[in-house]
Amino acid sequence: MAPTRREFLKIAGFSAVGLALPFLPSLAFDQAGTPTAGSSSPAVQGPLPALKAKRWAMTVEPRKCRPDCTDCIAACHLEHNVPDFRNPKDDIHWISLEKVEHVFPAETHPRLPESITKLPVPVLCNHCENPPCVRVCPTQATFKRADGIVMMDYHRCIGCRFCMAACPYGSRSMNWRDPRPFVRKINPAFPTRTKGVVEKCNFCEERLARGILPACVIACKDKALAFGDQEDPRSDVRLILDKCLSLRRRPELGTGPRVYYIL
Amino acid sequence: MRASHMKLLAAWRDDVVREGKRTYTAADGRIHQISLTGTCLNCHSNKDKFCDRCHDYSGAKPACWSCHIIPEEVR
Amino acid sequence: MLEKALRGSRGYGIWVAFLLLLVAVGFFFYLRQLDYGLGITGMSRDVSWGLYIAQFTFLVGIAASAVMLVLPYYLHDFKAFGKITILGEFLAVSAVTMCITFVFVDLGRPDRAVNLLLYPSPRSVLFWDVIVLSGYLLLNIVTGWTVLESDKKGVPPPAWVKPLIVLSIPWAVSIHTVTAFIYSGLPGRGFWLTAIMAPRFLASAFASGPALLILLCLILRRFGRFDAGDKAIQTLAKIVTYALATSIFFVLAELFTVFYSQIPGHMHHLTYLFAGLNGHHTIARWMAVSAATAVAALVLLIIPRARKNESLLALACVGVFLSLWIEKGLGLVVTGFVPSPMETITDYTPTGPETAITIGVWALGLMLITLLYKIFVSVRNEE
Repeated sequence: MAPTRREFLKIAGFSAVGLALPFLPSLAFDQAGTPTAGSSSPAVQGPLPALKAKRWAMTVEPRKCRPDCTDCIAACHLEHNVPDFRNPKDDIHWISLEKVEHVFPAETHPRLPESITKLPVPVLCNHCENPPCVRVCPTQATFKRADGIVMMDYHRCIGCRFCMAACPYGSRSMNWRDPRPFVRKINPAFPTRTKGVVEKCNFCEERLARGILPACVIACKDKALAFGDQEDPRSDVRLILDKCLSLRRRPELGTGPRVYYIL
Repeated sequence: MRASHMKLLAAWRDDVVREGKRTYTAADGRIHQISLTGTCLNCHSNKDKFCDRCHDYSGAKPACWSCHIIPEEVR
Repeated sequence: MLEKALRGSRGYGIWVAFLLLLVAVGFFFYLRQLDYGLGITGMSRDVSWGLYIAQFTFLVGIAASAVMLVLPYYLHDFKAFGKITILGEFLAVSAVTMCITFVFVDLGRPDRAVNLLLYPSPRSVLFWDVIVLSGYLLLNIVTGWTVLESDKKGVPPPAWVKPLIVLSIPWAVSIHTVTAFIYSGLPGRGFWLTAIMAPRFLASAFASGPALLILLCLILRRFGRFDAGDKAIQTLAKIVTYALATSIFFVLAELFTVFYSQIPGHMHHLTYLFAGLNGHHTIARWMAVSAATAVAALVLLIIPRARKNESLLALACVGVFLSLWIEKGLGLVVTGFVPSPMETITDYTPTGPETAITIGVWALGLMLITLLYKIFVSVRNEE
């Protein structure tokens, strides 16, 4: 008996699915799909071996900053092609200077001396031990590496900005517009980003791979920023951490920031 | 290569960004730094002839260049 | 049955054409947004979610409210709702479609939306939201359509529909719980970090959704030649009353915890929301309208004589809908970002294009409701 229209459509449908099945894997070019933190990198065959650490960390000593200095910001933003939109709405920054009462609102009180309250405090991504941004990312475009750096995969980010909502520190910026025209001076050694993705400080992981320290650390003439492996007792950061009282931003949230402030 | 270069680039992309693995050892033992702008376009410096000729003809519009910098355009 | 949506009175045609126009305008501005970037909206580095996500949040509630028709009828044999469960399911279909569209429109890289499926991230609440919303959409399309089709043929619905409908009950609760969890698990946003976020969402959903349903039923009675029945409408009104009272109670409970404990970080958000902070008053003005409307609506709904009066009931329902739209929309989303983690205040004002796109998506949803309800009414009136 000839198939009814319904039977015919059923057979055609199954056949179409059967024909398409072998091609489905190749539709997703991305073969990698292992969105876990990266393994330790092999030695880079450049002039310097890659810097490696168990846990990268940074110390910040705002007291050392000379007044009106923005060298760290300039160096970082130049190195990474961070655009300058000149308006607070679209503003993107990886590192910026804020007042003590904004960085440490819980610790601020009316009896703090002006020598403290007037300090410029560099703030950046804290590369948390337990980052809420990584937890909420629906595509794992932001992920934590084995050495502690919280990375951004700009190829994967869909721009949902859940990470921006999750970050307790305001460290992340969204590309609300095409950034290219607003990059003052393009550094060809580093890509730009497109509109529609979220970006933030990456602890200069591309420089660490080439054996050099982060741009902000090198740029600071006052040596207010130190960078190193907090698990290495002889690192720059440990020399400071082992001697002084260090603060972290909003520690009660359990994020485990790796940027330590010495006030 | 013409048919599969996106597979290679996508694999390298994840190697560098997600795994931190920045070097590629070719079959002949030579070691390359994985970098679109720094390595690939360093030798294949004529993007017009190397990339655009086929892409323009086939109508492919690779999104790489919205982020990755074309060296000639910055010099 | 789809063809029934294509034929109707002149008024029907004009209404659909009007909605289509709004959709087209919205789409035009969406193309502008694709070109310029999300910067075309009023969102900023500090307030990184705005009107689009606010609408999404509110509409998830509307979608969940179908359960208020389904549960009494399918679990407790409340016959008065028997005629109109399909209306609830179709409303859910339209609301979830709007939700998904709003999220899509809010993405910075919508061309990469498929990454959500390619790279599943079970630790991300957004991943689960995509799953439960898609599932709920599918459930309601299948059940609503199948039951209506069976009605048309004059036969009882097939046996497999009932378990699906019963499944939609906990599923409805889940879509709103998961959406609430998007907010209530973020350590850095004290305004959202409250355990009663999910209960609040459900309470306001069960007030605003049925309120909209009542309005739709009244419209159908007036213009659509379909009468849901006084008992159904009055029962829905009672549901709205209790849900609204609960919702208001939850807000008062929040106010108590925050202001009795006197913790500055928590107080700042609610002060900004209800009273304004440091000269920033816009949201506070909106919330004043929302609060006043909610109380007035509750009074109308509590008084049986007022509730039974169709015009007053309609007025109260409009009030409930508007009040909760303001509260769950602007109130909830924007206030989470103000003050910022750095304790600064950045105001948020939607821009023209942003508003046009929002209206376009709403028009899309209203068009869906119109078309689906038209099919429903046509099928019912043929019997």
